[in-house]
Amino acid sequence: MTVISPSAHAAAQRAVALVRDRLGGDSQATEIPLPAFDQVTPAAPLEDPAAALIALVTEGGLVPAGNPDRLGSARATKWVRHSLEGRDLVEGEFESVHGGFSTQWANAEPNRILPLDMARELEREGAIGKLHSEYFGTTGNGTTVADARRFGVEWAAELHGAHIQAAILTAT
Amino acid sequence: MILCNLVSIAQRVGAPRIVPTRGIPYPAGDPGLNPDAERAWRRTLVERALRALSTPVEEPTVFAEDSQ
Repeated sequence: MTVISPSAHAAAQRAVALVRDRLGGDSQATEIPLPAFDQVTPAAPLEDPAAALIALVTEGGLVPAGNPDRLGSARATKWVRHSLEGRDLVEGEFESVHGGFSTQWANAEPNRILPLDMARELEREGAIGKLHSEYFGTTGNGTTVADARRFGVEWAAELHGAHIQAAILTAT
Repeated sequence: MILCNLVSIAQRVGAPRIVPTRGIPYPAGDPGLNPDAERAWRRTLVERALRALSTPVEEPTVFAEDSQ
């Protein structure tokens, strides 16, 4: 792949050079190489969800009404955790503070961000062994890769520490 | 595993188990449905999530259908 330096030539020369490279068969020629991401080794599958402890996590900006932790609506540098024990995700008690989309649908029915109602139904029916009693959340909106990586490392450590076998992450 | 609408991004960053959803602002819902039908859709998503979590994968894999 040819990576063309924008500073070396006038715009017209750069455009022609890029077209020539592309027509010449270098389909990846670019002035803006995309970032490379970490290789993620997939976790081993669950043997049986009906015997597993499973957590719900989200980057959809879900917080208790009033946002007591002051989670940011963009470029979040932290994540939050809240107990779900004895609580349902109902309008007026939870909301999304995500700044990257209209939150009207999330606020009217917060289960649209975190599928707690149906996960509990499947737990009652025995398809899920047990749901974790709290959720982790952040706002995924202009978040730096470095912060996102840190959240992931911290979530993984917390989940491992609580003997949770799997997580369902909703992403907006 | 991840429930998300932007499947191509999830694949690009290497998310191993992906279940596609219907809209960026509601990864676990579909406000175009009536409430009962929307809950049924959400249940389907969680069931697909459980199936994805129970399936061995080597690379980003999309679980879009119940018959997979």
